[in-house]
Amino acid sequence: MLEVGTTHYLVLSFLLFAIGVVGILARRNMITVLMSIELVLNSVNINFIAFSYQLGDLTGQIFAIFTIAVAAGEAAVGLGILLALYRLRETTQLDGATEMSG
Amino acid sequence: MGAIEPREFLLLAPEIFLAVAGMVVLAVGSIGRGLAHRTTALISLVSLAVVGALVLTVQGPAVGGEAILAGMFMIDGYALFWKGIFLLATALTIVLSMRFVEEGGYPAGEFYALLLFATTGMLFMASGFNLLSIWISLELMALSSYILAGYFKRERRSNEAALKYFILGALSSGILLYGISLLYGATGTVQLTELAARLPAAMAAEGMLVSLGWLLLAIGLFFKVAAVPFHVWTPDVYVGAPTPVTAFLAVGSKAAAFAILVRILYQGLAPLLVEWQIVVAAVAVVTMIWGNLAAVTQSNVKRMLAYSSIAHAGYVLIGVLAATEDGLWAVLFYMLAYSFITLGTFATVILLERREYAGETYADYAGLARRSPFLAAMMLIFMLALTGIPPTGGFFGKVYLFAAAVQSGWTWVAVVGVLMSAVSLYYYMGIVVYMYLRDAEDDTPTPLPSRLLAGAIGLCAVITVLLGILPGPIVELAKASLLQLP
Repeated sequence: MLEVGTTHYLVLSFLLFAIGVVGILARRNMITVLMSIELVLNSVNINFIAFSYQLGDLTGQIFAIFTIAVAAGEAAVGLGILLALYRLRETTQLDGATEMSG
Repeated sequence: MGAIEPREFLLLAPEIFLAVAGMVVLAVGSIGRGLAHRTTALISLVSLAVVGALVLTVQGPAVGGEAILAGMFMIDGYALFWKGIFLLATALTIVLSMRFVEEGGYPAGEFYALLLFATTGMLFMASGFNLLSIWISLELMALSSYILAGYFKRERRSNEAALKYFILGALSSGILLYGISLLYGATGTVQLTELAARLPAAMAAEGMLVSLGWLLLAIGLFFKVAAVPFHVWTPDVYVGAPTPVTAFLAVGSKAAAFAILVRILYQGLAPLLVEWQIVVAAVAVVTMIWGNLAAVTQSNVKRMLAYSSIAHAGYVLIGVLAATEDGLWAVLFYMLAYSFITLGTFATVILLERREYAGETYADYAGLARRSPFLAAMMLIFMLALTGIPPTGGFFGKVYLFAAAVQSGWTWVAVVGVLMSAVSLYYYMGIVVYMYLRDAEDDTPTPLPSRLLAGAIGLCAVITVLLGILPGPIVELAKASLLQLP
């Protein structure tokens, strides 16, 4: 039997993190971007909990709980901004948001 | 870690008071039709003054350095100096906002409440001594700032600014957090002194994890201080956000990000000094070069100021890089001077904004010397200070930073700084040329619509000049606010 160790969790979390970062940078729909942000934060949670288990130290789990709370706040703010965007432009696509270029 | 005494919570009285004040402002702003704009602003200003007094009386006696709540926060002189900068910056931002928010036609309670929440986050950041508490405080500031940037929600540019700020801000805090998680995995702690103590052993055992961890953490911090190549959000956010918010972001958020950057690098990552110095040096050089060159090509004043604030982040990084006492107090002095100079500059831009986004092109400054000699003179002082020409605070700020870099053997970085300051003369003096040498289309005098705002501009200018003539007292204060060096 293959033992599932910390390394496996690290690989999983790295994959999630990479998918999330690419999603934030490349996707053109705000809702997909919000989901990608959640992926990044959750990949961090996996890291924290895997390390916490490996080290026998509770700090990591506490950190993960805080991350979940902040992620909820971040999603709320993100959805608020998205709502304002939708009211202004009737779309959730980011392509329209190019009044300023830089 | 012994038991936590109630006294330790008492030491955090200023922060707790400010958070409560923010909630009170939010509540009174939403009951019925809300209080008048000016009353809300006044309540916020008074609470900031109370917080200032509390910081001095409650935390003042602990300047020697006292870690509280199981090492979560540190009350020391370093934190106190930054808290002073944050409180002054927020108070001036409120003065700057009053007319703007009133004319924007949006509810005032939320605006001032969010400013106070962001300031609470900054105060906690200055004291944060654990990567967990630092990150939560950072998020408190960042989430409030995202909303503030999009405060003119029926204005497309403001919404777009909030959107870009939010997406890239969330990405940066994700990267920062991933770095923290890796450092935690390698060392088993997120408390800064323990981290520093365990890093050498962790480097030997888990070199990869540590290197990747601190690099990601540093990238997240560079995002927040708007250093190249992590600056892409800055110009759009600064242009699109309501101008008082831009001033707040350019001064408050940047200063708070520097406060934690220095604390994490000096105290948490002290064993990695040689490694991070190389990275900071590279980022500082690229930031100064790119920030200044990009500013030269701008035709929008707010956009130019955004690139100039990127360039100034580069100068401050020179002081961080030195990792000496001289470098550290130079950073503190520079951030104080820069705060007043930048707030004054943005206040002048606000006063020129007749409607939401006017007053932004260079042409709007044509013939200003004849239309309003006062505003032109003030702008001249601020532009001289941003370039670093005596007799202004900007001059001494730069001299101290560059001198510290030369003393610690980073002469080539200081040389780049001096050269790029010369480049910056071109675009700062561009405004002066427009103000004094070009003729305006109409010569009607520009009225000063708000005495309060004019007073705030005057105050910033006086402090800017005073810092350039008598920098001594502030230098002494900064020297008394140092961190333990790596």
